[in-house]
Amino acid sequence: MSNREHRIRITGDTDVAIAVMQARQQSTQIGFDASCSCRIATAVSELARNILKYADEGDIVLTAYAGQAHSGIEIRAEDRGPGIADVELALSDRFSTGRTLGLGLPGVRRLMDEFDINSQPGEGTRVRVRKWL
Amino acid sequence: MSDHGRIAVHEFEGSLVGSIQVELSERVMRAFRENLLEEIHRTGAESAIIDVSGLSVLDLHEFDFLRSTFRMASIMGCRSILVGLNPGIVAALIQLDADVEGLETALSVEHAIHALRPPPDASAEADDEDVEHGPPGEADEDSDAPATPAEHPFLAPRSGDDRSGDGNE
Repeated sequence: MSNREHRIRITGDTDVAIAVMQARQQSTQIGFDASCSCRIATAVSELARNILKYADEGDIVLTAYAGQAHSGIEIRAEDRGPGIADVELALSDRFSTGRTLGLGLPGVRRLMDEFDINSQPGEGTRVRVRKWL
Repeated sequence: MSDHGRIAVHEFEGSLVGSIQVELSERVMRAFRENLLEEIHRTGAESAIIDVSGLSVLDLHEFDFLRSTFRMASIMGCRSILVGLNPGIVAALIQLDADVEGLETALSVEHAIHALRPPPDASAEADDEDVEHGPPGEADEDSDAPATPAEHPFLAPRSGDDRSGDGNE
């Protein structure tokens, strides 16, 4: 079983593009079809843009899982920004209609198979999502 | 990065056509918007076809930017058609609950050009009404035709018709 990890520091627009390209490439290598690779890359784009918008900088970590039972990809988005005061509210679909104010997290959750978030005001935000083949 | 990311906007068969094939950084997006609106103003174009078939990923931020650009174009009397969305992008946008209400799309530049052409004659409009309002299964000369307007066989149905929130495949 091998796990390949790529960490991309997000400090600007270009880093978002790099993370997206990396995600597409890794997804294709793992064996995801074009449509899934696109969805994975879009989730990475959303998460990376959130980092820029709310925390100015952070990291996207892409990990490819190539196991016997399970193959897939994990994306972690980590920052030391202000954190989310009300995580449940941010995850509710009410926030997706006023999208300019929201984080698009419900959308990211729909794009992926597993979704975890850990965020406290003043302690930053860590999102972890996974998609399996 | 350099200015190589400029997106050219050309006139083609009475429409402005812009093909986006480079990464949409903030600078590229802003330059594209400026350029498009400037060309609409200069040429008085009444339609603009924006081709994103060169993009493999289009996220919400970029999509919203295109939509607001289209709104600006429409204030200038120019109708915009987005073409070349690949299936992955479409699936992702719907799952992200993108606002597709009122967005005009087509499969390709050619399809859009065809859709923009005026209908051949007035009787075609009468057929169009029959196709839309007739009850299902009613015998008609076009009974086998799908329920899309007769003069726009290639124009994709208005997005917003199929909004289901579940995002399951």
